[in-house]
Amino acid sequence: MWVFALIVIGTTLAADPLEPRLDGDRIRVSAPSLRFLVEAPLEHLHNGTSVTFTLTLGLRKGPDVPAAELDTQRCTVSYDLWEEKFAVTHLAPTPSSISHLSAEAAEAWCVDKLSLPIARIANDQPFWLRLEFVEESMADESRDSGPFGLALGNLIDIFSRRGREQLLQGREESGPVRLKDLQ
Amino acid sequence: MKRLILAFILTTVWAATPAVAKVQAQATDQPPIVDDVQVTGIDDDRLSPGLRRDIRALEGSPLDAAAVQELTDRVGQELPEYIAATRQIASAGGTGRIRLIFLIARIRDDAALRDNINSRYTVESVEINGADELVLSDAVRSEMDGLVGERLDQKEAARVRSRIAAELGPRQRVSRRIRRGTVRDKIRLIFEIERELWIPFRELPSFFLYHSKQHFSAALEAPIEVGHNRVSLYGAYNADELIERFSGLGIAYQNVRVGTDRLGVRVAFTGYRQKWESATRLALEEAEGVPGTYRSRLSFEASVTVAITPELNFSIGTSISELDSEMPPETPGGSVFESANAGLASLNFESRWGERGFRQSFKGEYSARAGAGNIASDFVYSRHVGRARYTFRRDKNRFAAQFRAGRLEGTAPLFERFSVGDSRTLRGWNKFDLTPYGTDRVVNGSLEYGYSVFQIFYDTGAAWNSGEEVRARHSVGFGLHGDDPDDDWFITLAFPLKSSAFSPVLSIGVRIGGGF
Repeated sequence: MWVFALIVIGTTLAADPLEPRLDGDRIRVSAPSLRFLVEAPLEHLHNGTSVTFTLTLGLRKGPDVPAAELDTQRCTVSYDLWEEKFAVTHLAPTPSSISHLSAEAAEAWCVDKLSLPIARIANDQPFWLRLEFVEESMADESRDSGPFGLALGNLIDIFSRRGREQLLQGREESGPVRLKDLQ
Repeated sequence: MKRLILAFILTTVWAATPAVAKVQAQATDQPPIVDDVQVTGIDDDRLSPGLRRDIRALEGSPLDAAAVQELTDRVGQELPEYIAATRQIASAGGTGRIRLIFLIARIRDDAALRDNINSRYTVESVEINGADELVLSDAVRSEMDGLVGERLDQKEAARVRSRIAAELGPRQRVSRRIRRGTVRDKIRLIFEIERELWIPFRELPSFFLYHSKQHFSAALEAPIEVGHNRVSLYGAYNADELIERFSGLGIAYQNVRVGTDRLGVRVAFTGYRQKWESATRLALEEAEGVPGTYRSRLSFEASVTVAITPELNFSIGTSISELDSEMPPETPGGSVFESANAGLASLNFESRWGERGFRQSFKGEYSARAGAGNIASDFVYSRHVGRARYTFRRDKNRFAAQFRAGRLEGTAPLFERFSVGDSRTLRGWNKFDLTPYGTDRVVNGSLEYGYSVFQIFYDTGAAWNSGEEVRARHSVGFGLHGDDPDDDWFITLAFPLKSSAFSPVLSIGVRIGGGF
C-alpha cells in the first residue's frame, strides 16, 4: 500500500512540465511551471523598463534529435506601475497587446502564441516538445550606431563589458507525446 | 478613427489636462452634475451589462471622482486589450454641469504603448539620484524639465539619459527608472547615477586585421568579470605590434578595488613563440650591440595601481621574462635561456568632457621599464615612453591627434625596441623596411579627420638608433571606419610620401578594446 502511494506521489511529481493540446491542425502547450517574469527581468519591469523575451517551441521525433518543427515568437512585457499589472505585446507582423495581467497570466499569454503544425506527425508517432525562452538584452542607449556600426557594435558588446549582464533563459521539455493521446 | 481617439486620449486627457485629476481638484469644491455619459472608441455592447449600467448610473448625480476611477479600471479589466480614460466637457445644461466621456482605445494602435504600458502616464517630475543636479549643464537640466508634464516618451527619456551620461563622463553610470507619482496616473522619472570604479579594468586588445605588407594578425581576449575582479584568457597571433611575430596564450587576473577605490592589483602570465622576418635576421647580422632573436618568451608580470583621482592613476610592478634565445648554429645546444627582468612604472590620465554631439577626450600615459643586474636580468636597460591622444567630436565630425615619443638606453631585448610602420603608426610604410630590428628612439604622431564613416589621415614619425641621423617620414591616407576607429572596424589605404616607388598599403580589420 505504501509502495503504491509512493508510486502515485512520484508519478504526480514527475508530471510533464509542458501540457500539450490540439488546436485545429496545430499543437499548443501550456507551461504552468515555467516562470520567466522573475529575478532580474522582474526587477527591470518594476523599475518601469520593458523586457523582451524570445520563446521557441520545438517538436522533436526523438529526445536528442534536431527539431522537426520550430516556432519562435517574441513578446515585450511591461509592468503598469499604477495598475500593478503586466502588459504584453506580441511582436508579430500584426502586433497584438494585452494588459491587466498577473505575472503568470502574462507568461501564459506569451506561451500561448507558440504553435506547431501537426500535419506531418502520425497519430501514434511519439514526439518530444521543448519550450525555451531567453531574455533579450536591452539596447545600449549610450551607443550610437553608424551605417555599419550596428552589427559590429553588437560584436564589440560581446567582447567588452557592455552587455555582459547575464540574461535569463530556461527551458522545459516533455515527451514522449502521441497525438492520439491528445484527441 | 481609432488612432484619432487614441491620440486624443493620450495627448489631451493624460498629458495636458488629465480628466481624473481635474475631477479630483474640483471635488474639493462643489462637484459638477453629470448631465450625460458617453462611451467612445468601442461599441457599447463590448462592455458587460453591469458595467454599462454602472456607467449610466453616473448621469444626473454629482461627479464622484473615485467612482469614475473605479469604472475606468473596470473597463481595463473587462477589455485588457484596451486602455480607458475619461474626459469632462462643459454641458449645455448650464454652469456646474458636465458631460462625461469614457474614451477607450486599443493598445496595439500606439507604438509607445506597445513597447511600454507606462507610456500612458504623465511625467510628474524628473529627478537625479546619486549626484548633485547642479553638476549638469543648464541645457541638460532644461531638457529634463521639458519632460515634466508630458506623456512619458521612452525614447526622449533615453536620449536625456545619454546626455546626462555624456556630461558626467566615463566614470559615472547612468540608468533610468520610473516610480509612481504623488497622484494617480502620474509618474516620476528618476535618473540614477552610480559612480564607476576609479581604476578601470585593463582590457587587452582583441582584433583581426590584414596588412598588405605584414599579412594577418589576430588577438582575442575572453574576460570574465565578477564584481571588481576580472580574469582574462588571451590568445594572439600578432605581427602588428612588435618587430617579432608572436603567437601564444596568456592569462591575467585583475582586482581594481582592493579594499578601496584607490588600489588595484594585476598579475599576468604569457607564453609566446616567435617568428622573425628575414629582413630582421639579415639586419641583425650587421647590427652592433643589439641582442639576438629568440624562439620563445615566457613572461610573468605583477603590478599595483594607485588611483590619485578617478582620472589619474599610477602603477608600479615587475616583469620577469625568460627568453629562449637563438644562438649561432655552431653554439653547443643551439640555444640559451636569458632573463629579461624589469621594474615597471606608469602614470595614466584619461578624461572625457562635453555633451553628446560635441565631445572631447584626452588620454595620456607615461611608462618606464628598467632592467638591471640586481633583479637578475641579463639585459640592463631603461625604456621610457610617453603617449597622448586627443579627440574631438562634433556630430558626425571627428578629429583626433596622437603623439608618441620613446627612448631606450642600454641593451634591451628585441620586444622592447621601437618600430613605426604598422596599422597604427606611419601607415603606408612597412616597419621591416624602416626599422627591421627596431630602434632605441622613436617619435611619431598622427592627425585624423573623419566625417561619418569616412576618414582621412596624416601620419609622421621617425625611428632611429642613438647616434644615427634622424629622418622623418610621412604618409597620408583615407578609409572607412566605424564609430570609433580605435574600437571598431576599419579599412584604410595609406600612401607613403617618398620619391621612389609608389606602393600604397592596405589595412583592413576590426579592433576591440585595448586601444590607446
